[in-house]
Amino acid sequence: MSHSMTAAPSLLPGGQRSLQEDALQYLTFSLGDEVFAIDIRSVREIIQHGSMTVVPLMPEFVRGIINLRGAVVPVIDLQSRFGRPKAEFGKKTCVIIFDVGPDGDKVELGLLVDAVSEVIDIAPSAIEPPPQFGTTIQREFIRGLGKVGSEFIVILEPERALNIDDMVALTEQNLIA
Amino acid sequence: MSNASDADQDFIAAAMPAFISEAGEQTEAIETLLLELEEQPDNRELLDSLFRCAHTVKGSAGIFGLNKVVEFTHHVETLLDKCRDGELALTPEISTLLLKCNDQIKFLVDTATDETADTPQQKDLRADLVIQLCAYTEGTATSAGAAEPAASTADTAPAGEPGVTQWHISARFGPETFRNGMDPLSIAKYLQGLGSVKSIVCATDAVPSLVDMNPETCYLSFAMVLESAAKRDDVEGAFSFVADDCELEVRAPESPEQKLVRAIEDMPATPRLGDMLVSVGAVSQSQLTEVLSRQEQTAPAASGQKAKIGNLLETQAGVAPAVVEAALNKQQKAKESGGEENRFIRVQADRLDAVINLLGELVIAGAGANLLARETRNVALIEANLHMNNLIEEIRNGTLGLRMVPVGETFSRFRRVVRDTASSLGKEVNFEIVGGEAELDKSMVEKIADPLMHLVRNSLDHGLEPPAERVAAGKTPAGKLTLSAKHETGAILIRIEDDGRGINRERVLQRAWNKGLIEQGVVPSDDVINMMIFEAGFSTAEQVTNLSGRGVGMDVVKRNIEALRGNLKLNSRPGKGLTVDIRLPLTLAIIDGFLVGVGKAKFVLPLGSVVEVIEAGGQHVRVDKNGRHVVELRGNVLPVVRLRTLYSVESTLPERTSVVVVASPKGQYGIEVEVLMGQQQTVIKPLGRLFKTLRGISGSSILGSGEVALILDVGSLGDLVTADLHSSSHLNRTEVTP
Repeated sequence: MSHSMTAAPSLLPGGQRSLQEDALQYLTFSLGDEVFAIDIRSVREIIQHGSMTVVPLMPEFVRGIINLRGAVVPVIDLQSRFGRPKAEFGKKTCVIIFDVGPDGDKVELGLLVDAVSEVIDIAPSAIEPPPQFGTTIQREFIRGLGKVGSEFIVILEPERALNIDDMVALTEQNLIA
Repeated sequence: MSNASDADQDFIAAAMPAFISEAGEQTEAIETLLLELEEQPDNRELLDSLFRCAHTVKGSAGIFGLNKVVEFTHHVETLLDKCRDGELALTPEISTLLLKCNDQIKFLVDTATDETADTPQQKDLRADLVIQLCAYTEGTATSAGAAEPAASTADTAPAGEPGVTQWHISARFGPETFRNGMDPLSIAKYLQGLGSVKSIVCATDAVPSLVDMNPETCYLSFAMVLESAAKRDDVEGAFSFVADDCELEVRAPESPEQKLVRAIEDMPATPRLGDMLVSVGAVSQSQLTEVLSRQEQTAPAASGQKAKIGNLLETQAGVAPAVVEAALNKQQKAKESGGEENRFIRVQADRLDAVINLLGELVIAGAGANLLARETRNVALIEANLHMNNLIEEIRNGTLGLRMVPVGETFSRFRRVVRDTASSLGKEVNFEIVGGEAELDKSMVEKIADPLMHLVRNSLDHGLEPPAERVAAGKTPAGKLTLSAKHETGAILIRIEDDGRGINRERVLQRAWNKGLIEQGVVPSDDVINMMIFEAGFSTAEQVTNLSGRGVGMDVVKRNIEALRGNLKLNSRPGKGLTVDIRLPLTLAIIDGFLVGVGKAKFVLPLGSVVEVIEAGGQHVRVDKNGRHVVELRGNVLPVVRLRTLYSVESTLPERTSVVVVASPKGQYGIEVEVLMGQQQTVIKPLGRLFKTLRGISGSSILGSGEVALILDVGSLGDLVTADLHSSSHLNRTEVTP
């Protein structure tokens, strides 16, 4: 009970920041030739890709589980999640550890990406809604298009692209098939 | 509370959760005690504990300024006090009333911080309960109001002068008193002449409203404390004119001796007789020291056995034998119960969890250090590491033991449910709890309570027949429901057994066909039919009751139990009863594991389920006519799971494989593996929601090397093997039917 009492005020600053500050920070990373960005507030850390344990009977986008200082974290292959061929391990392959899910029910996930690039600021005004068509990934996975210089970077919506319930449903289908 | 300082407010706010949780435990205890008292109404100790619980709730609620709780609990306390004094017998009616009151206390405590929760309905209910409580308390000689001063003065020191004693008098005058020409006031005045009246209270609560009042009828009663040298006869004599028409109680004053006895009974138990006597003032500390030193001196001279301190105190310090006896009894009781109440330490659950998590890390780190030590081939280092690992294992067992609680506490909560449910269904049931002392991880106990509750209700609702039907079937009118727990290797078996009608397989099958859960016309095995009751959206009850029959619940029960890595088994004897077996692992944290390898993948088997290992047994694995892999072991044919094919592990086919024979609830089977890596302590790391549909794997574990290994769930892996059997026979059948 005392837990929730202390947790409540600590949530406030985060909420206030999003109202007060203009630009938000995003972490950009590459998948194949494309660059994506995710809101840095949900990112915990970035680790080098190391040994991974394959979990049998799981769909291809669940690449396995890793030992993160004593915690077991599943690793999702974003390429495969977007319906593309699964990622090959390269020199720059990284795992982005981040939280997904509603408050109080956060799940740690690892995101397998080809390379991590940089942290950039994007002002909310520079973010456009996802286009109606012409995107290479499902529209609902995109939070918006961030204009950086002359380029547009796809900002992912992890709550949709990596929704646990959706992925569980896919796993179930995989088991039946 | 409005004028309390901020600091006080802060303190109260911070301590409130602790109060609510403690009061919750007290109300739970009250319920348990009440139910136990129904079975042994004369058990004085239970009654005392009951009173203490209610008193504790009242007291701590007072600290927090929860006046509603205090007021209400006070009435309950008054009634309990009457029972304790033997003025009232704890009849089933009173017990039922008290249970309802306890619910109300629970409600008030739970909603202590929420002003809006106390709806007018709740207020009405509460007022109603108070009226019922008062009906009992005022029906006895002393009214609720009058009992108070008597109780409070009883604690004051006995009257100083010799011969002068305190009489506690309470009198309820009959309605005809005035008409008979008597006046209670004159009696009171007469008593005043006998000595000095220390306190007097007139109870007017029986006086009706002015409209209904008959001025010639006496509604009054009074209680007084009289200090007087008069004898009992003299005191009672004052009431001789009204004796026929008056409920009179003159309580004998306590002699100093009796006072001491009572003080000893009321004090917290200490293991030492002398200390006990000193603290109630029966002997002084110096007297005790003197007697003790004399005991030391005389000891060797006598028969080698020390003279009993109690006897010495009796003879040398002049302590009354009755007092010593009371203290000895108390001491004996304290020994029997191990002074339990004083030996508990309340620890916050998350602190304990933090320690257990760290311990998990320690186990992993220990395994890692062990591995490195072996590589150095330094014997001294290896031995030091082994020693350390043994210690870690002991700490592990000890720490996990801290989380273990007896399941009995949860079980006894069901008494109430059974009692209320049975009476609302018009059924009779003898509820029995067996093996409540079996221990289980606290977190498991919490998670198992709801599923168990469902199953118990289900047995009451669907299983047990109404008395008439039972008699017609040649059974006793009262049904029997047994909840039992016992340990099996590395697991606990919880069994819910009733002697009701069992599962009606035909009806279940019909329902399953109608609901499309089974293809029309297909008749699966009896076990499969029985398990249909755990399917979502399934219910055979002809009419939906408010207890069960909505078809929600049983599927949740099964899912919850499987989420705890447990399994469910039904044994239905149509017309004779139903047994539900729930097997659960003892803990969710750490197990002894057996590490095996297939290709690059590593798997852990719970050591408890490993029966034997056939090294290089792979050569004996063959394919039987149904296409199953089997191995022959001492004349028995065991099915074999090939992990490599089942989990499509990439590896080059090794020259030799081994077969690990494991025991599952469905029987023994083999698991073909490539490498045996031996025994290892395994910290279970749950795999999380993403993997919840995964069958045959119950979790993961981090090995000493930092690698993650998967823990095989022997039960559901066995189901996969037997499911293969079913589906193959199923196929055969469907091929034949068209």
